[in-house]
Amino acid sequence: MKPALYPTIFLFIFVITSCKKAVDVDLPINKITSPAVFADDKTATAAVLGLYSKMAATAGTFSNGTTSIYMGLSSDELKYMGTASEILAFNTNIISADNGLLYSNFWADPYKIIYQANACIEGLNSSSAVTNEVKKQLLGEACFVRAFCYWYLLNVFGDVPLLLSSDYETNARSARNTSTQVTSQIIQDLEAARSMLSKSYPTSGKLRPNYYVATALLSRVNLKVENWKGVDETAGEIIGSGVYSLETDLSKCFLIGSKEALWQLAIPDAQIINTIEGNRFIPVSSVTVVPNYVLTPSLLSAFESGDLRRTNWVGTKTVSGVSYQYPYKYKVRSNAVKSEHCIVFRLPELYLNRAEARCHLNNLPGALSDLNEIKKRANPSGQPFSSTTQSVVEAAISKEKRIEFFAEWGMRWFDLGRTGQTDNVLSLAKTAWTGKAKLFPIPATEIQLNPNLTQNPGF
Amino acid sequence: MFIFLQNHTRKRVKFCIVPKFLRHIPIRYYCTTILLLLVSIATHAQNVTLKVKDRPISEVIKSIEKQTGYTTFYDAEIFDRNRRVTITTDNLPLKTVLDRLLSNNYSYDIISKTIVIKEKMQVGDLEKKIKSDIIKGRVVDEKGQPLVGATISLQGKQQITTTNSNGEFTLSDLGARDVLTITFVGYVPKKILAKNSSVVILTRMESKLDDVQVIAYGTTTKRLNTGSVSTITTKEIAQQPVSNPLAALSGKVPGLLVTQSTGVPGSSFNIQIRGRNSIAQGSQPLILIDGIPFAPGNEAISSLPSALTNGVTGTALSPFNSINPSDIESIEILKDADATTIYGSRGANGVVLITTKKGNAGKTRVTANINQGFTQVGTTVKLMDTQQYLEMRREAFSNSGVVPIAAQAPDLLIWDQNRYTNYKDELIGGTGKLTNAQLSLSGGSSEIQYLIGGSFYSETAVFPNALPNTRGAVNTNLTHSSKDQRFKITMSASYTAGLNRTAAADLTRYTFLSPNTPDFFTSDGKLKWLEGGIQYENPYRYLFQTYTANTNNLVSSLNTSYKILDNLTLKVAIGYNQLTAKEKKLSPVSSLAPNQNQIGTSNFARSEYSSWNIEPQLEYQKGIWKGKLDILLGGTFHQKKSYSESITASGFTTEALMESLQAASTISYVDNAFAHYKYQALFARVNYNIEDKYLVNLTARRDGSSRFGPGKQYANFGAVGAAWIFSGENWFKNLIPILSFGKLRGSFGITGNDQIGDYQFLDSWQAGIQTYEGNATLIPSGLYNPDYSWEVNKKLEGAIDFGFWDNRILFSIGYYRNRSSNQLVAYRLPYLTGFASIIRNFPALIQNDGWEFTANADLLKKDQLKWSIAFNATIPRNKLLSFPGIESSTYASVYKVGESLNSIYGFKYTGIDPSSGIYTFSDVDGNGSYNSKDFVISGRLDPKFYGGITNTVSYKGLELNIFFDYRKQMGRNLLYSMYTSSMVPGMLWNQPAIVTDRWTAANSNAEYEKYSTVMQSTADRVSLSDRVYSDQSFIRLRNLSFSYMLPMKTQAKTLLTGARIYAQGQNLVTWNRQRGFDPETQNLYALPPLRIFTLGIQATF
Repeated sequence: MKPALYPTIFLFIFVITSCKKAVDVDLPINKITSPAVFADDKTATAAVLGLYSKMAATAGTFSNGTTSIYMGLSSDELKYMGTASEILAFNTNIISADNGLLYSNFWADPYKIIYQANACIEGLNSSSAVTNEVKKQLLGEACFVRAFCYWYLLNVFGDVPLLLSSDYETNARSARNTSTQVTSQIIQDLEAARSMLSKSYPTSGKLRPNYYVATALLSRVNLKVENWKGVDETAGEIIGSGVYSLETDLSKCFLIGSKEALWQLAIPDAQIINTIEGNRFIPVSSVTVVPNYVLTPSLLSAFESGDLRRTNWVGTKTVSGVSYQYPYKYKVRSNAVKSEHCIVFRLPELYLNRAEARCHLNNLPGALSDLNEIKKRANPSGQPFSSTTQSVVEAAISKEKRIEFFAEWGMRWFDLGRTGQTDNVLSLAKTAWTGKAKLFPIPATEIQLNPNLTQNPGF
Repeated sequence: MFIFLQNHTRKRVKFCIVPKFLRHIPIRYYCTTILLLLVSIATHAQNVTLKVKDRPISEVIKSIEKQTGYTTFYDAEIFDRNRRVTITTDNLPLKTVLDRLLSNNYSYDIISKTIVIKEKMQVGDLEKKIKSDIIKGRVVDEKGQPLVGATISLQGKQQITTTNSNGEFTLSDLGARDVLTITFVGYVPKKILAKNSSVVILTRMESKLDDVQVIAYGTTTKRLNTGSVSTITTKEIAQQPVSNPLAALSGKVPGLLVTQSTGVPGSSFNIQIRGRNSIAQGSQPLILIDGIPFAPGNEAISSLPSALTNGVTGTALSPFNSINPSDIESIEILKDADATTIYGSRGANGVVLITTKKGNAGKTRVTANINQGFTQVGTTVKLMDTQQYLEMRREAFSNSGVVPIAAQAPDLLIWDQNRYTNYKDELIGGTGKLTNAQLSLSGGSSEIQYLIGGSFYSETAVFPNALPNTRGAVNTNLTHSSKDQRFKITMSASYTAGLNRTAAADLTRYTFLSPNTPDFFTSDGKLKWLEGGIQYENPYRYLFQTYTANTNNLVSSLNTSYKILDNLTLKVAIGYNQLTAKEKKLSPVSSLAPNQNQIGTSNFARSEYSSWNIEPQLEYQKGIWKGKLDILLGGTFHQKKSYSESITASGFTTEALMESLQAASTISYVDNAFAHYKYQALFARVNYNIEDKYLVNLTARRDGSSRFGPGKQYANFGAVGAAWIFSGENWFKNLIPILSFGKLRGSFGITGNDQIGDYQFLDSWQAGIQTYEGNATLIPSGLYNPDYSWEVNKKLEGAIDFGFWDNRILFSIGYYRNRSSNQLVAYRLPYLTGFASIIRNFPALIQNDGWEFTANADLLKKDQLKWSIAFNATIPRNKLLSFPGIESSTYASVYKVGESLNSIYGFKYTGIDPSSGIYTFSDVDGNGSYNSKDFVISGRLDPKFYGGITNTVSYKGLELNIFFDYRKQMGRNLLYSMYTSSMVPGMLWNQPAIVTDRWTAANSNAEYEKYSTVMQSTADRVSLSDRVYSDQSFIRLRNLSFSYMLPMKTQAKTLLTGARIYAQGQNLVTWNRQRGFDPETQNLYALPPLRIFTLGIQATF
């Protein structure tokens, strides 16, 4: 036997049995592990900022533009002029459980954000490395975001599964919780957020929610559950704080520096889009292109003469001799320089919420005073509204809200639903209106994947 | 055995056990009786008839050989072959004839089918011979190249050896007149007298059974293989004018399903070996090029959307677009456990071995091959003309009760009502030009062999502008052997640069534009978008938006071997493969519709795949007992890295600078990703071959993969394969004389599967797609599960191979059964969980079984005229055997136990509602609503059977080859495309003319539902129902090639040593149910596989 044999075999065996760690790989360049995320203030903050980056997704989602568009189409304020059948379905209110836009924008996206909020809450709660001050702030934000998502899920679909942990095993099989359960969790989250968030904003702009933002959402929730006193208090707290004020110049309401904005969501600087609303509502400059979304005659006729919002917030474009009106609150279709952010909460809502609550609390003068704050701003030369009949004042507030918040966050659609007027109003406005369309169908795929989910009636 | 008896007869051995009553009979008598008895069994039917008068004995022996099929050996020194004899026998046993023929000075042995004539020796003689003879010999091929590892066995004894790296062998302790049998894979076995064995020349086998087959870490032949391996030769590849080597496999291999995704040059081919083994769809086979894992596998390597993208299959640019088919020597498809287990987990879904061409020793040879041709779209579905179309639109509006307005019905209200354009002709009716050229140089000596080659390929599209898919490649191959032939090193490297340019979208979809759509260009040559103030689609935008993919592919390998001992070799195989794809897609302002942001955008993406592989191996060969033992021990270290990045830049001041990032005002989207895969294994294989009759092959492997969490990384796999070549048994040969080959083989083994993507077990977060307030954001990468482990795949196979009439007809039937359990699934989850899926093991059991048939027949072999047929068929079955808890899982309405994974599981179509005119479906549970509870199984999408048939006819230098492939299957019909793309009849899109058979009040018996301008209320049920599936069986004349080898005479005065001209056609005719609808891509809006015609010439100098 050759002398080289044994060393060779030995070396061979040594080589192929060494390297015990041969199949351990380093983390990929773009990933860090969960414990590392909540190991310091900076990465924990980045995880919470991730919530907003999802909410402000450039493609548009329920929290960034599409609620304004699709819920606007579903109500009586917008008409779709294009041919995309999935968008058309919102306009005709014949929406199927397979509608991809409904599925991704209004179901999958909020639940994706809720998952991350839950993961953040769990991570923060179990972390001892994040400083208490930051932890409090971040927990408050995560709780608020979770409540915000559930709020839209609740209003679009009715009963929805209420998921408060990141445990996918149970989440995957969750049945729907009642609206009452979901609402009470929203309130609980908002109260928690209010207890943890500071009254000032964590950064220079208004891009992350503070105490007042959580309070604003709470006032909206109170309105829905008809806790009039709660609305009066929460709205009053914000109005009275002096932090916000109505812009007297209507053209400044939707700018980055808007004094009446409570919370804005920002699309990254690198994007040329300022807001999804501006980008999709404002038609292209070409003189021959009809706007995609036009305001309905019924909305346009609701404006009183002299209402500056008609001239300031409504755009007009004439194509082939026909003039089309489109939402023009946001003025920038696209520009690399940012002058507008998507405003999620505006002070006028609080005035009108409080007016409605005061009306129910039989404080008509208070209600009228709030209502006229908004009317006066829109029409300085007009007469203040006055009436001593509760239902008349209520109707006036409802009308004012429709005009103030047209094409904004589906306010009209959700208010009609909240006040039980959807059938009355839309059966007149829409040819194919059916009562079942008040709630959207639970996405069919989701039911297919989770046999415990039930469908809304009629679908 | 006879030697034994003969020797003992002479020595009158005493240990013969003889019953007492026979003791009085002289021992010689009964020994002879037994001998005769045995001989008569062995030589049954070997009777000889001779009528010879005074002829040389050599002539008589030849006549005996001819009658019996036996071979005769004799020593010319001792045996006077010219001795003249006279003999007459009439059908007498061979032995009797030999007894009479040979004088008393000679004896003879009959061993197997060999007659050895010897001088009768005295006892002293014999001993002298045995002591003195040490035989040294050398085995070479016809060119004089040493054959390394040839087996030399001593007939009838247990002595066996193999040749060393110089082809040499040494045997001792044998007589000069003993007979050696020399065998080598792919060569005709030779029997030779030991003393004549100084140089033995083996000739190549002609039978297909003995063609070399590449297997894992070695080679074998079809004859000796214990596993299931199919080979596609370079000739079969060369006959097909295809640019993607996978295309050449279609219909050629039983058990392999090849499906083209679109006809756009450079697009993907899906390949699947023996069905879908995994719910998670990780059913890609392992692909190795010269033993190196091809880094991208068969995944799409492009990340930007383009015309190559098929939305239904999700595929795009094929990595095999970077492999030049003409560089390939053979492609082997390894299917069963015996063949694949040595690759462990990576081989669970079968293995594709690609072997590139190597240089051969000999004088320098230059081969040039050039062909040119054209491509075009074959028959397509007939569409409506303007009148039919406008009638549809009007009817649709009236059905919907909607008065058309200009914005929604410009075709009815604004556009010319008489205009008609055939967009098929305009957009996809072009003729693509094809050029393919190769030049190679090869040659060498016994110490160095080389091959240097280069090739160029270019194919233009059938779209209006001729965007070409081009590829240039060089390949080199160098082999060096040391003088003592102990050390050997082979280096192979090939580099391919590809440039794929195509449109930004497949224009086939836009052949469905309303036939009266206005002009696409304004008078000044710009894109026209508006007519009467209404915007319309302009398909030329996708030509203005260009897509370019630059691919570079380096495949290199270094194989070294060193013979430590004569029967022990150390080998190290090292390989590196790197493929990069750089893509750019430019969308200039001039290509944008008025309603789009008027900002030019460029997308850039880069994907890089690299893989290196180191495999040390020890190989030990030894003759043990009657057989040849071959032991392989080795290890694998494999790493794969993939990296991708993409950038979006926009806001260019000028379209000329759109490829410059500096010219962009905004760089808005930057993304990069990285994955690292490590894999380590230890493997062993023991192969034992007894007299080429009994073969056993054992494989074991221990695998570790980085795709699993700590503690789950390692697993063991193993397989056993065995074959019995029963035609090697004498009794069998006599039983069925026409049967020249018969083999029974079987295998069983366990392999694993780790095709689940990397890092899935980590609870990790990654950078968010967007920043917020200019700050980095983090988002969870996905749900994680640290506990999943290997999927287990058990493979069982049994097969029987026959050869008839000297193997002119080869026939084989095989049955396979793969069962995969512990399924690793991307378990689909509702979005409630925040994500669409999670990776986890599931106790589901999936079975793929089936029958495979192959037949090769040389039907005619008369003088120069030859006709042969090759046929293969596969009958596959896929079944979900069990899935505990499926009812409560997310798969409840996706799969059903007892049915195929590829079942049509959805609503049952129940005809058109006679009153409303829309499709109706069975409400199975009768509750009035339609959901997954109403799903029923109404068929399966797996092919019922498939295969191919090749006819080859040749006469002198002419050869005609006709190849059909066929498939019986259900598949997506054209309604699938329409309903999933929301382009149903009645909308602003043209439709196949057949949908004019639609429901109207007058035509309530229609095939299609009524026209509608919007999706009907049941429309989303349609795409979930069996309405969108129908028979998509086909027979395709896949390839026709004709070649003519120029007769040598005309070349006598030139350097030319061979020349061939040829014409080839691909995808020529398809016979299927729905004329014009491609049954392979099954996508109305994707370019069907193109017809290709080429004409070429190949010359060798």
